Amino acid sequence: MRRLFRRIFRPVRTAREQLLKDLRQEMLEILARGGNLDGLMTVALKALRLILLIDRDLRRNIRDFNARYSFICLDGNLAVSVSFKRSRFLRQPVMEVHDEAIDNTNITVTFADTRTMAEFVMSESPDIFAGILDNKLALDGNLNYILKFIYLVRHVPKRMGIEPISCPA
Amino acid sequence: MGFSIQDIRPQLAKFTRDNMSETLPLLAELLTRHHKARTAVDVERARYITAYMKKPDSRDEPIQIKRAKAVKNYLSNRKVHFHDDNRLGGATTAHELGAPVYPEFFGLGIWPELEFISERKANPQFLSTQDAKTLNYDVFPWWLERTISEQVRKKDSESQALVEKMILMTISKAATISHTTPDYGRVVKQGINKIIANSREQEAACGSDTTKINFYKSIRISMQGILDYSANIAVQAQKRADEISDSAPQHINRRSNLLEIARICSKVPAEPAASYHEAVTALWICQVAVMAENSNMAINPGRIDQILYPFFRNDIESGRLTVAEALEITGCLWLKLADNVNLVPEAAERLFGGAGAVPAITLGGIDADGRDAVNELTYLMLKVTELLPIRDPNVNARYLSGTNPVEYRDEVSRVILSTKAIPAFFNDEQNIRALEEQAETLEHARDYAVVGCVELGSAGRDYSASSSIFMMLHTVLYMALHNGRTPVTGDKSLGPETGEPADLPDIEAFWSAFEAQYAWLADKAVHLNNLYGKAHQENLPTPLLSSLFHGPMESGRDLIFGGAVYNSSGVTHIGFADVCDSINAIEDVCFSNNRMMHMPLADLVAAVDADFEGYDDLWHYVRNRAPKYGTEHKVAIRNSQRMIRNNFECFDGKRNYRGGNYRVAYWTMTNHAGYGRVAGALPNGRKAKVVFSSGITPASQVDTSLTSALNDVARLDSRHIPGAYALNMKYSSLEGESAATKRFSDVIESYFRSGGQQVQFNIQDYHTLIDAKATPDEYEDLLVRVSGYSAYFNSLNSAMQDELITRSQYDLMGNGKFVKLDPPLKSFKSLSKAGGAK
Amino acid sequence: MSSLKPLVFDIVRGSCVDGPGLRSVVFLKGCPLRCVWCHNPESYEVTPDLLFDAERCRKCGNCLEGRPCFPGARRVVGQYYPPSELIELLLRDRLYYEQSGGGVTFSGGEPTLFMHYLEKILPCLQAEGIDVALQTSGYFPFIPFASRLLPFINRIAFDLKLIDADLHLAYTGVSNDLIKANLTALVSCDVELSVRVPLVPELTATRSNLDGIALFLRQLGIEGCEFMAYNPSGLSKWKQLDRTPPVPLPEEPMTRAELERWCAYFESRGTHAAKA
Repeated sequence: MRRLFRRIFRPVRTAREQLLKDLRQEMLEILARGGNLDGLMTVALKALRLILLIDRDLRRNIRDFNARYSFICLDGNLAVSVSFKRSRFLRQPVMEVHDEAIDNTNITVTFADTRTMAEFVMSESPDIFAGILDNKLALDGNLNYILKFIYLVRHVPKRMGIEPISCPA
Repeated sequence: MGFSIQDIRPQLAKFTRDNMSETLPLLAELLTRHHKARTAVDVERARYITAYMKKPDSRDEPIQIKRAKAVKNYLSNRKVHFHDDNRLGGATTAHELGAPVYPEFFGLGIWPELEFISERKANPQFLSTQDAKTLNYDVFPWWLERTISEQVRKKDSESQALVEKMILMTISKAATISHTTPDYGRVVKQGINKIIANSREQEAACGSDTTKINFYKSIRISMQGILDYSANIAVQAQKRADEISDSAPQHINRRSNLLEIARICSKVPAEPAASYHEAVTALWICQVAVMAENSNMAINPGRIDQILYPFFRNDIESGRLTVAEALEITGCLWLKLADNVNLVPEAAERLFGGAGAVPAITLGGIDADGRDAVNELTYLMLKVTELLPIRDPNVNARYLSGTNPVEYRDEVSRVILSTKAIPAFFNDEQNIRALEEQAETLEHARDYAVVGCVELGSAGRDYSASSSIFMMLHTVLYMALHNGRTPVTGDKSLGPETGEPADLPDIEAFWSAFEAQYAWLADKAVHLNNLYGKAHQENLPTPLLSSLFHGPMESGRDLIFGGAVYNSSGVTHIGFADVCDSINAIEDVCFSNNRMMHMPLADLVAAVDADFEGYDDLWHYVRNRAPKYGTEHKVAIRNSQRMIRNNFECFDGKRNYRGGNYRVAYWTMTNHAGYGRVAGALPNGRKAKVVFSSGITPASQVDTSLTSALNDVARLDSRHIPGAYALNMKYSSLEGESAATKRFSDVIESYFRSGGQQVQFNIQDYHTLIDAKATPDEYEDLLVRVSGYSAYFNSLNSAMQDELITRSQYDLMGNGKFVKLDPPLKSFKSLSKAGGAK
Repeated sequence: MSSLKPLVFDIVRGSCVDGPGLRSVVFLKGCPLRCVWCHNPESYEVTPDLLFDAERCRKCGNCLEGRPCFPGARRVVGQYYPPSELIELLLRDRLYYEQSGGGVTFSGGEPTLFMHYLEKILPCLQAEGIDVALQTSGYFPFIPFASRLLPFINRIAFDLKLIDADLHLAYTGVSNDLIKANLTALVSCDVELSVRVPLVPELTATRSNLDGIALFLRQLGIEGCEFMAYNPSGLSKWKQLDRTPPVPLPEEPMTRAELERWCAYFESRGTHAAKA
């Protein structure tokens, strides 16, 4: 039975790994382009979604976790959101990415520019206090959720083998 | 037969840091270990507390009982560790140097870095993979909706949003219940069994008042936790002693030490102590217990030279205790007090990096009847402070001119010169008067202990919460100059609309704007502090701490509900000197008959907002020629006094959620450096992103002389500063001990007689500190005074290191002028990149 | 003697090197001597001087347009303090004087140039119980000094630079007859007297000069003197005045060892020397 299960799911896993590679490629292209980091946030969140599907250990973090986040970027007029829930189909917790702001969030993060937004998901140590003090980032909601989210999102550059963006001092 | 107590001092003189490895080998070894120990994150407390809180059957318990049981769950079950041969049983955490996680407060702050914290560049705090998992899966998720900040936000998200802007104020209650001095004397003298018995009697007498009944019950639950912990230490010590069969001398020593710990811990703190060693142990175990319930920030042992003196004297006179042994036991307490630090998330590192837990010890001064309280134990503790120049405990020396002996003042001075940093000096005359003005009785005011950095409170009677509010004066100034806008709120006025610069025709109009903005922020701060206080009441009662206070037992009320005799909160300020000098510059340039440099306020504000780019003349003028606090310029004197008076009067009459006063203070920890680094330029010529001056200290590199700086500080009315201040002075390295000591001591006496409240020192040259920043490995244990506490220079963040480097230096044996830092530390940024906290 | 308004070129407070205890020191501008090694050359003239500190100059050109120099590179030294203002300033540190056994020191320049000014100040300080010290080149008319100032002075630090009359004239611009006579007269006055000898390599720090000084002091019954080791801090001030010292001066301070050697030498001539 287990063997059968594995046979069915192996291609799925391979496909996910392939998708992750594609996202990595996409990310590298955005980074190489420099300047406009518009799409980076969305790609990174999609990557996190995949990683959570693949990585069982990390997935343990989102068990019974029904949080909702919105990320808004003022200069690009960009909004992207994520929500966590239990997938009935996969019978496991999943993260969903939405290309718009959602309501009833636990926390909404507003970024002054795409650079700050990109740093938030791709830097070695996103410093939200610095962001607030520099007037580049505003939080509305339960801060604790953002702490947990940073914990999760820090796995993205590591897992994808991409050098984190260094924050300007 | 022992010897006379008067023989102590000549004996003390024989012990020096140089001969310590022969005369006090245990302390020498423990000191080495202390310096080598790396910080580890301690999850044991968080695990036990959270486990209890999660329990389904605890759900319906009243919070008073639930909290007591959660803390007891930790104390009764925590593992007992013997990290070294320290003669005191018990440890704050499971690690040699531990940073406990308080998930109720800011513990979740390290969530983002659970997998990195061990290796991060600035002050790594070791966290094992297993412990990281515990936090990530078992502890933190449960607190997501339950931290104190979140509880407050749920009630008033608009007010909480002000805190989250970070540049207006800090409300420390989000991080801590602490900053107070328990009455350890009662445990040492009466024992915990007596406290338990008292609570039974009180409960029996309180009828059917369930709040009170629950309170007395909660006392017994917490006290049982302490007793369990102590008993477990005794059992484990005995077990370890039994395991030692080796007969090598060091093992015999270790065995007898463990047996003695076992004997003592099976007796105290349950029963009254009968010896010095027992008394010190009882005090230490209670200190550990208080930190099991409340954050390890400024939980202060207090006036231990008074509490422990009868035991010390008795043992010495009966011959049970030698001076060397007394030094060893006291030194063991010092090192135990240094066994914990705060958990510091990476993001907070640049604001708070390098702090210890700041348990304050207060020596000397006078007793409740006004008599000289300096005793032979005071001198012995000064000797220990000299022998062990470590970050914690924060040792403070009280002094009353005319009552305390001159030899004592000289000895404190000598120890400061010897350690180059500690202890700090406090003036009883001013501080007692300040506390009396706060409606403390004369007897209680005389029995004050220093709280944390510099704050004052009657020991064991004042639940002082002295770090409650940090007011950012530079932001108040900014708002006064921008019609209520702040640097992070764009075009929107957050504060009252007090007018654009062009609407302020004279200095009085400016002051009105400043005072209005200050009053607005003070109201917000008080509102928030009280909201947080309510959240504490609803979530975090403190039965354990309450048992160690005068008041709660009699009134049946927890400290957090105002059960103490005094119930103050503290309000400290960041940016005092820079903001005073800015107002001086505004008055001088915009509102006086200044022929050399005159411009409308609007132009000055434009120049400041442009970081003086394109305003070279103005910049040079305000830096070099505008009146400065610390130079005894009459304009500067007037403005500094007005600022002090305004801030005091604004908070005077406000009441906290426990019914107590707000006490205004001026100490800044490392915040003046951290916040300076992110603040814009100021009218005094301080450019953007440059550190502020610390505490009440005149701005660095201003053309002061030693006496003009001291006079300007001493001139401030101490009745307006009941929370006290930190004055940081820096002296060039001094040679020739006795002449320097005399001179040093003379300056203290004169400064105190002029009205000074407090002063602390670094005896360091510019070049030493610059060198220490560049080559940290060669200055591993370099101890410095920050702004109210001590720290290892290397553990401080770059901004704070720069602030220490640039602090004005005076040559006490020279011509009295401040020694200019030449060349100036020009490129703050490049230097900070090159150096950086290690 | 000048009847001009006396100018102060510096006031330092909390000094430990200008007499016992912590002291405030008032430096008055103007001196009849022209010691070639002077480390306060801005104190020569009784009139204001312009100092220019090239390191602080930002080349803004303000000075060319007659506007103030904001960076403070061009600085006029010499400020008049009305007596009452000066007294108020000096009294601010009285607690420090009392505690440390310090007080106020008048230095220069040559402070005795301004007897009319000091005689308004010294009696007030004396009435306040403040210890007053005077640092002098010894070049003053004794009789008015003794009647107008001396009663209000607790201690005098008296410079003795060169014992040889010709060398003295050559290197300080004045004869030392008056100086020697004044020192002789002061020995029998009710004032604490200390003699100070500046040790300038090759100029005053010579065996023959110190032999002569030792002999002279012994004759007066003065037990010893204080040596002030040469330090080159005056060189930058010469530069700021845009002048050069009349003789080349060493760039390095006298070493401690050298100072010790001179002390030992002096002792060997039977007179004690303290290191200042």
